[in-house]
Amino acid sequence: MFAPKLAGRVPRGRVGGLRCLATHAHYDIVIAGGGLVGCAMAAACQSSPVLQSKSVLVLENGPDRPYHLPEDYGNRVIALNNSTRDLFQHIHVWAPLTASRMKTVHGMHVWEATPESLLTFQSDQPDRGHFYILENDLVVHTLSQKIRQSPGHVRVVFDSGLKSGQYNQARGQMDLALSDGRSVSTSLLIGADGVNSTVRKSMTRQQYLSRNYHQFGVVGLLSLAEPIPNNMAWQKFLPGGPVALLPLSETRSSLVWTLPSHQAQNMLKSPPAVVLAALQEALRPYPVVSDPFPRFSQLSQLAGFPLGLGHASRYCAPGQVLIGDAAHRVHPLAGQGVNLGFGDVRALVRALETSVLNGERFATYRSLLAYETDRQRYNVPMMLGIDFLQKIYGSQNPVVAAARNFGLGVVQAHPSVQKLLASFAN
Amino acid sequence: MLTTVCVLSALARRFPRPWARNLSTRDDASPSSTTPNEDKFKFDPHLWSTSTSFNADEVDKFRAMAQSWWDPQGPCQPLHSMNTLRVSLVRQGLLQTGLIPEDQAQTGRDLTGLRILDVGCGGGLLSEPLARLGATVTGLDAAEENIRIAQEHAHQDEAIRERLTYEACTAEDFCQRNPEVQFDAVVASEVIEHVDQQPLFVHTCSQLVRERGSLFFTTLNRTQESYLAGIVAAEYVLRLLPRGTHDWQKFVQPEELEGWLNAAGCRTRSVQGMVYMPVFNTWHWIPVNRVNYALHAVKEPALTSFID
Ligand SMILES: Cc1cc2nc3c(=O)[nH]c(=O)nc-3n(C[C@H](O)[C@H](O)[C@H](O)COP(=O)(O)OP(=O)(O)OC[C@H]3O[C@@H](n4cnc5c(N)ncnc54)[C@H](O)[C@@H]3O)c2cc1C
Repeated sequence: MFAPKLAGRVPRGRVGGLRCLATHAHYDIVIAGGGLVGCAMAAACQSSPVLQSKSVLVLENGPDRPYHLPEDYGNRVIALNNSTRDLFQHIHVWAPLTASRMKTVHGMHVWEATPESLLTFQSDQPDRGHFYILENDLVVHTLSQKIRQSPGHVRVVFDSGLKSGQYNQARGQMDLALSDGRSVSTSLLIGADGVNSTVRKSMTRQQYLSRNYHQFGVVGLLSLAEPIPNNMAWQKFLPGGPVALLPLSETRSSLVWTLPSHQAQNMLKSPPAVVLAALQEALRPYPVVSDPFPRFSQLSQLAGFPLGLGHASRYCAPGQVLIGDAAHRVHPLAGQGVNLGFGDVRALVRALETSVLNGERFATYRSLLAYETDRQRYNVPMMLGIDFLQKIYGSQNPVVAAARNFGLGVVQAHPSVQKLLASFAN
Repeated sequence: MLTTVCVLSALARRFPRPWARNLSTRDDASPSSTTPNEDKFKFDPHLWSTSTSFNADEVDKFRAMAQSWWDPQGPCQPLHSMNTLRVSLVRQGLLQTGLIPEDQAQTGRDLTGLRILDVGCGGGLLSEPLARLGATVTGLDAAEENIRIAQEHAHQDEAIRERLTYEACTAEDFCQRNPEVQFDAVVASEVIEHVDQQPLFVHTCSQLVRERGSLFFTTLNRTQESYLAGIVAAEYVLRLLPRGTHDWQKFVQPEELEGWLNAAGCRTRSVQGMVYMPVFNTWHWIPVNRVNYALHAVKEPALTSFID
């Protein structure tokens, strides 16, 4: 029960006036995972005139950390595309994010070993950016603030995760066991619980295709030697993997550098100044364009994340559905990761709304299948494309490496590769 | 597509081809001409030997199907998926005619406060979704087995069971017993092609709806295409439905239906074609109404109010 826990601390889950979560409570929707995608899902339910009346419980394993916008930028940033912008406008979080800290990026320069191989992608809509760079924590915070402030039936409980879930055929619902010993039931369990999703693992007939790239994403915060407009993103394809410089402000950029695991681990042990020197060496020759190339004076907040590919063969089972990284994990080189997840949110809301407006029982398997078909048709080709790019650029195989360095390089030669890069975060 | 048509027409030669018969020999007053003609459609109760549209053979067909109404993989699969069209037909129709307040539209509670009669409700496949959208629904079916199934099924969902009433009777019986009762909408989906005395049936439906209320019909057109698609393909080739489910002779042309409705003081607002995709089990609106179609009509206010 929740009560004994309450004795020593402020109640955690308090959205919608929640003081205490009754044992055996029933919710129309339970969202496992209060990360980027789970919070967006909850906010989207609140904003939907059709789903507004549904009771929603968000379960988050982690604690409810107080958030203050730090003076300097964090090292975990995401690139949001214009579809995500549409979703965020729809759920009324775009304006607070714009008012807070966001960088609108006008385009991206991509180059390879030779400066002639430069390609430039730009926004085709004058009033819109090509994509937008935001800090992870700020987005999660803004979304959860939105959930707390909106009237509605969304409750968030922290420090409490989903332990297991089982479909109860007779009652047509999911019976859930929580990590704090309580149990609840729901008509729809949404797995937004990330790469190691408990919901996915509890699905029968699920096959999870995964590949370890033996690569790390090394992230960090770069300070510019002198201020520049810094409106463009830069990405260079190196033999070991791509390195991306994402603008944050006139004096800051974010580093996302894909490296073979052993190299990354060495780098993470080295002093930041050494890493910065290696980065500057790797970026040369700088491309010659009218946009000024940022010169960096400092690198801080270095951290590394293992990279891999993962895809769930099924996004749904009776009474349960997967969204975000729980369903698919991609290489960050195309900036798609979380945008695919937000696309899932839009599609799932649409499928649930349609089914309600057709007078169906809530969250029928048929409506979940409609979501699955809709999303897999989009996500699978995108993932294969990203995987293909990764193979070419991440490969240590000498034959592939030779092919890669032959002539103008693969990026220039392949229209399909260009198309994929043009869609960076789009 | 073309090959399918060829295969279907080849198969069709093995079946009776009723359209080859002279349509004017049809045993009731329904016209062979396709232009609505007020006089022809005028409903005169004295012309009718029995005052019921009930057809015992047709009701027996559905009695036999009763157990499978709610089996999503069973023979009623197309009826389940047809809800995507017919529920939106009712929602959109009642919104356009002003019976649904704007702020209630597209909320999932769209039909709150409305009373709907579902004539020929079968196992309640359409009554339940309408109730789930907030309507108070009365479902009628001549077969008691169907009503029992519908009641049992409704009982499983406490969110809607209060708003659902089922009665085992014909529309005519109901009308006679409840002369004062009028609904905001009357729905007869996939029913009229199974009743005798179709003009009487339409007349009864119109009596059960209030002024400015709506009538919704879905049915099959009487065309060569509907014979191929509705009977040869659905009942013989693809086996979507048990053989003998439909009698092509009873299919109704939209012009005929429109004529009977006119005679009953109802103006047709729309006729839309529908098509079924068997492999995907989905329905779609299409611009041609040669096979399946949906019709929406509105009961005009009585003329007396204008004369006054
Ligand atoms: C180095 C790196 C760089 C990246 N760069 C980009 C980028 O530029 N652009 C981009 O779009 N994407 C990027 N991504 C990917 C992006 O971070 C993810 O796609 C995104 O975080 C997925 O969000 P999510 O909500 O699905 O999962 P997560 O963010 O993983 O959230 C899952 C949440 O669920 C909680 N949880 C887990 N299990 C349970 C449980 N059993 N019960 C309750 N709660 C649980 C966790 O505590 C967590 O809060 C990058 C990823 C990496 C590693």
